[in-house]
Amino acid sequence: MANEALSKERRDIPAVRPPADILEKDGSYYIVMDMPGVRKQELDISVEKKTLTVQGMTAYPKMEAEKILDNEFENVRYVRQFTLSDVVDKDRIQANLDNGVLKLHMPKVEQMQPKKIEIKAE
Amino acid sequence: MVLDFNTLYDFPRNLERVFDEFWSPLNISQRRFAYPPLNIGEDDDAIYIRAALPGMSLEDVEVTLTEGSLNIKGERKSEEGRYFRQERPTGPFQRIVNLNVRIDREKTRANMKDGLLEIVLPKAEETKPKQISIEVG
Repeated sequence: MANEALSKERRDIPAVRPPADILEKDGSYYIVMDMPGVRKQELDISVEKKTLTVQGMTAYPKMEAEKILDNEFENVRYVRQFTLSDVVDKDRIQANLDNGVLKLHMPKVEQMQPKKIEIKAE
Repeated sequence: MVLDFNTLYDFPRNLERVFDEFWSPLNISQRRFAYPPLNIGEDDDAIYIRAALPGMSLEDVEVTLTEGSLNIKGERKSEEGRYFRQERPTGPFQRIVNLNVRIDREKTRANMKDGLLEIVLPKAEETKPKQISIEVG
């Protein structure tokens, strides 16, 4: 299991559900998630059957030499799962991480062209 | 259509958290609800202010330094489209950090990476601790 592979240190980091927007635009679905502090190497996206899982670790620089005056956020482990419908083409999902925002582009399955059935009349 | 049941499953815990936060005396200042969340650190040379601002570029954020405070201001805009779910915060925000030391205004710098804004405010020379050697005569 992937979870077993996580080191103990990682498991001690609190898991957080990142806020997500789900929207439809130009015939595609998009999931947009705020994941500040996550680098590309620390992001893991997988699709298993109908479940899309996004996991990411933040990598904020440590400040050991500093005196902390205010601490409102810390290193977290982002975890979130989505259930995909059949309308989403799972093979063509694209992910783009830009400045702490993950954007998943999920195109719809190409619709089969309506087929005209000709009727031959005697 | 994308379905996500997580919100529903999380509901009892969310409710619990609201009560916990309500009773905790530390949260009277409402700081936890302020946006953006800040980490502030200090050493002998500078004050370091870090803000989690995913998706914002340095140009989108207005950072002004006045005599006694630092002001972080901006607006988070939402994308056009038909929304099924919208959890990411949008709208204008502002936070003011009070500074109790003189800052060397010429050497301040800001940097944005992975959604983390880092502002370094070097302390003015005259406020830094100096070692004074005392000669025993």
